[in-house]
Amino acid sequence: MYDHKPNIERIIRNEITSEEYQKFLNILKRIFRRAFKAHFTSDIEKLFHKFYGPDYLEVLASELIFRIVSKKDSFLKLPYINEKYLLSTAINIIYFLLSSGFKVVEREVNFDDLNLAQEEDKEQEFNVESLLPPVFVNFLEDSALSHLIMSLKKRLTKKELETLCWYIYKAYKQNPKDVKASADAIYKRWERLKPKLREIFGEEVLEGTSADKLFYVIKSEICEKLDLFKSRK
Amino acid sequence: MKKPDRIKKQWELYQSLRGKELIIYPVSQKIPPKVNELRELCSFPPIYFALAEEISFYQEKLFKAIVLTEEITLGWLDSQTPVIRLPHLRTIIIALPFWVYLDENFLLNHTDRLGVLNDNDICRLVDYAERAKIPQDIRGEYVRFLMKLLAPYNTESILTYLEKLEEYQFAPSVFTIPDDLKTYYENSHFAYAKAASSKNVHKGKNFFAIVEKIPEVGPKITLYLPQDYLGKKIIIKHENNVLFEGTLETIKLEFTNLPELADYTSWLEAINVEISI
Repeated sequence: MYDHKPNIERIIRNEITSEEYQKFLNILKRIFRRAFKAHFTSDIEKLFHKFYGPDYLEVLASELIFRIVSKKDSFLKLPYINEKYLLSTAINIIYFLLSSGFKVVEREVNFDDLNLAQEEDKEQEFNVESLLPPVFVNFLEDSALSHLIMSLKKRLTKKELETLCWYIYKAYKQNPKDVKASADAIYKRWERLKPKLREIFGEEVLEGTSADKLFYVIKSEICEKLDLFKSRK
Repeated sequence: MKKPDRIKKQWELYQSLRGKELIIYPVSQKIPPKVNELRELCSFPPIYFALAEEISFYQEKLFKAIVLTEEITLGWLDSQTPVIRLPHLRTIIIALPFWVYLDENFLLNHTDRLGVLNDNDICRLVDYAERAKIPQDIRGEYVRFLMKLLAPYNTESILTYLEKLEEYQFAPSVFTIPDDLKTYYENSHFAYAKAASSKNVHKGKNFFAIVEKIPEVGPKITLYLPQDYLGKKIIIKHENNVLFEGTLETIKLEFTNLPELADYTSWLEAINVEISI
């Protein structure tokens, strides 16, 4: 895999030409595009477009360069810097800005400013964030829910999924889809399923996420598509 | 349309970046560690520590360090997960539900000091690490993977600390565990402990313990208790069995006639030291 360390070294030492810098910025923009596509949603990307304008990828690429320069010692120690590492860094920067609630980019960086970002303040005081923007929390909650749905689909049999849906429809006082079993048999199935669900959900059952949200996602992602699982045993 | 499993995707990316062993680099500027500091381990990808407690004995220092990560998708468990923004580094990190013990030299040589947190925030991190449950999914796999990755440094730090304490050469109080208790332990659930750890060291709430297997004598446990317990009446229990009760005359206690177990991890976790009223 291509090693970006030589370019990064030249940026840190301010030895890079404007042309090389622009080329590297374009690589970073491509990495951010990839990060949005594979690790976020198009809605999140639209938010960045809305708040930072059509050049949002350039803004993000500049933020990554700022981070490289601010952490120059750490970057210089690495034996190589591949694209995956830059992708992982890009994902963190997207989260960083998402958690800011889209305030103005804290400090813009451009090629001429690089020398200004040399000294770190070693006496920084940090805080545990007490109020995070809903967009940040909702996105992470949704990711956790999607993962949970995948686990349920993977670990439960068709019959067990049917039983779970029967319980959810019942909880919502809606008519469950046809299940070929007596109410007594389904109830027994539900009792047998509970320990397995407890294991998948964990004891905390997504603390902080409302049961409504959880049930809604199970309903829309599993129960309404139960027919698709017909081939499963 | 099928919804993507972003947690799985992030786990795959993380696995492709992180090797099976932790490669760490020395720092360029060594700054002695202090409680409340936030430090970054120079590794690839980096790991962060919030120093929550200093356990010092004479000149030796060991720190309880809450572990934090840049991998937000993998480390975020619920809305209670503590989040810290580092604006000057364009970085966001979150706390993980566990901690490690690291000695002063390790922190000095391998971690960069980033800044400090206030007492309340340190309490929030400790509380979260103690309370949060590790889920039974990929996020849990990630947390356990990191625990395993850091375990050698945790064990090594505790061992180094104990070795340094040894240099002070305290005369230990030696006790023999009664035969009936030994037989009980050998036949109890502790006998089935899985051999997962090569070093039987343990940091309890208010003590350190190490088990050594000495030829001809058999296994021996040494407990190191806090200095301020000296002269006080204490009680040391293992589950409900009293191992020692009386006035503490030395901070080093040795117990012999231990049961023969493959691994003492869970046995050591059942020890409880209290000051009697």
